[in-house]
Amino acid sequence: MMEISTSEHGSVAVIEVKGRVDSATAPQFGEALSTPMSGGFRHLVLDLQQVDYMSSAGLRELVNVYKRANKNAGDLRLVQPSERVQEILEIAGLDTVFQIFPTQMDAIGSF
Amino acid sequence: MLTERRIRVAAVVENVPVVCEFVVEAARDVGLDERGIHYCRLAVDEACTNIVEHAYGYDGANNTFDVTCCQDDDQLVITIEDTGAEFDPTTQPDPKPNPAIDELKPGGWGVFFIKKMMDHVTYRRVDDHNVLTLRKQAPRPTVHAPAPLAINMHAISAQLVMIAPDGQIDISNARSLEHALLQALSGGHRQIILNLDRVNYLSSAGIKAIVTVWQRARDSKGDLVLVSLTPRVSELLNIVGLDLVLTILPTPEAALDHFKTRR
Repeated sequence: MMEISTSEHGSVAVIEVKGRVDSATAPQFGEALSTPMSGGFRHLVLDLQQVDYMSSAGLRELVNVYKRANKNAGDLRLVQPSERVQEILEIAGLDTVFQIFPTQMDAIGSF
Repeated sequence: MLTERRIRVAAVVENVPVVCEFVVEAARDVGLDERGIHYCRLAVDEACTNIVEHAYGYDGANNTFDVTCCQDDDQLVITIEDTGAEFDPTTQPDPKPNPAIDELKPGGWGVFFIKKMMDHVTYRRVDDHNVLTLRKQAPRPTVHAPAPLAINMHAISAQLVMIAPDGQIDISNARSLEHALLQALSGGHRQIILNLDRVNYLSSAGIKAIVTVWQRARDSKGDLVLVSLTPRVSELLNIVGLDLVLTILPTPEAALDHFKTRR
C-alpha cells in the first residue's frame, strides 16, 4: 500500500512516497524519514505528490522527524502535498509549520 | 438503501485498513460523495487506531472490536464498540493550531480529525463497552432558487379579470400564483381568465394551485377558465385528465364570450 524511494542530492536527502500513510504503514514511513538523518543528512525533502491518504499516524511521524531535524540545525521540507494531504495539514494546523515547495528542485535549492 | 452490516475483528493494526474498506463500501452505498467517503475512512481509521493502540494495552490480538454500519434517512451511521479501557474521545481537548516548534507535540490529531470529519460524534459507556457513534450526511439534492414568475393582471370588469403568468410554474413559485389568484377572487373577481400563453412548463404543484383556485371560484359562484395553452401544458393537462374537468378555450376572446353568455 506504500512505496518509498530515497535519493541523495548533495547534502540533501530526498524521500519520495507513494500510496497511503496510515497506522499500518506509518512505522515504515517514519523509519524511511529517520534513516537518512542517522546517516548524517540534516536536510530532508519529502515528496508527497503521490500520497493520496495520510492519517494522524503519518502526521505524528512527520512532526517527530521535523523536530529532530530542527534540533540538529536541519529541516524537513515538503514537496507538493496532494489535495487530500494538504487538507489534513490545514485541519491539523500544521500547514504553517512546514515549508512547502511546488517541486523537488525548489525544495532542494532552498537549503 | 444500506442494510445494516457488522464486522468483528481482532484489535491489531493490520485489521484497521480492513475495517476502513468495510466502512468505505457502506459509505458508497449510502450515496456519500468521494470527499465524504474519504472523511469516513479517516475518522474510522483514527477511531480504530486508538482502540488498537490504547484500549487493550498489549493484548489486542486476544481482543476484538465491532463496527456496524447502517443508514438513517440520508446519513451513514457508524458504530464502533470495544470492551477496552474507558475512553471518551468527545472530551479530549483540541490540538493548538499553527504551534511554534517548541509547542509542537507529535499527536492529538486523531480524535480531532474524527470530530472535524464527521457531522455528529457521540460516546456512551454501556456496561463495560465503549460505544462510539459517528454520523455522516450524504449530500442532499440541491434546492433550486425560485424560478422567476411574472404575473400580469388585467381587470376587465368588476367581476372579470385576466391573469397571465409569464414563466414556468413549479414548486418554487406555484404558491405565489395561487396567492395572486385567490387575492383576485377575494377582491370580487369571481370570473378568472387564466392566460397560459407564456407558460411553457407546469409542474404538479402548479396544477394543484390552479385546481384549488378553480374550486374556490366555483364555491363563490364564479369560474376559472384556461386560455391559450402551449402544446406542452396542453399535453400535460390531457395526461392528468384535467382537460375534462376545467374549461379550456383557445383564446382570450373565446373566454370573454364564455363569460358573456353566463351573465
